[in-house]
Amino acid sequence: MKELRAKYDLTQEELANKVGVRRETIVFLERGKYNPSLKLAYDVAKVLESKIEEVFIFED
Amino acid sequence: MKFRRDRRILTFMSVGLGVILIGILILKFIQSIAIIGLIFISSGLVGLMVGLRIASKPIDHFMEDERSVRIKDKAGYHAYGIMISVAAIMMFLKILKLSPSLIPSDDFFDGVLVIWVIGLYAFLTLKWYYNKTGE
Repeated sequence: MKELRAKYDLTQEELANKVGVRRETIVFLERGKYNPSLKLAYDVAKVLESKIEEVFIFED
Repeated sequence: MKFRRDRRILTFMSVGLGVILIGILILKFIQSIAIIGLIFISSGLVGLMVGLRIASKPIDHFMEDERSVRIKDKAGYHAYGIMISVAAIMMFLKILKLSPSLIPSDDFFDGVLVIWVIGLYAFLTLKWYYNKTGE
């Protein structure tokens, strides 16, 4: 997610504003310490013009 | 440390200062209700501290999002469990007549106060903890 964000030259703040969450939430998402809802995962993937599975890795 | 100086913050801080001023005036001129003056002063001070904390954080820090709601739900659920457990322990101690010092008196409100304070602190501590650890 961090690489994709860098590719689009977005700061954490800008991405947070685009998907309507706190910057803190993006920080925890990038650290892999927060499991997003399907909606947030979809919104992030949409902003980063990627598929959900390209942005997030599912771990059982 | 940077502090925001938008209108909302300034209004909040002004109200806090005003409450302190009213408290001081009550203490100075209406001695018979001095306790109310003290309550005003302490409330104003708490208001000022809360205002400073809010002003030191970015504007979106207090915005609700799915993570903050999830953390609040989780902390509330566990704080509720702690409150129920404390109430049960207090009840059993009372029934078994053990450690009466834990329960200040037979007054119902004393017991409720203990449970309320424990619940409040448990909620705030758990919220802080889940926020730090990433939920």
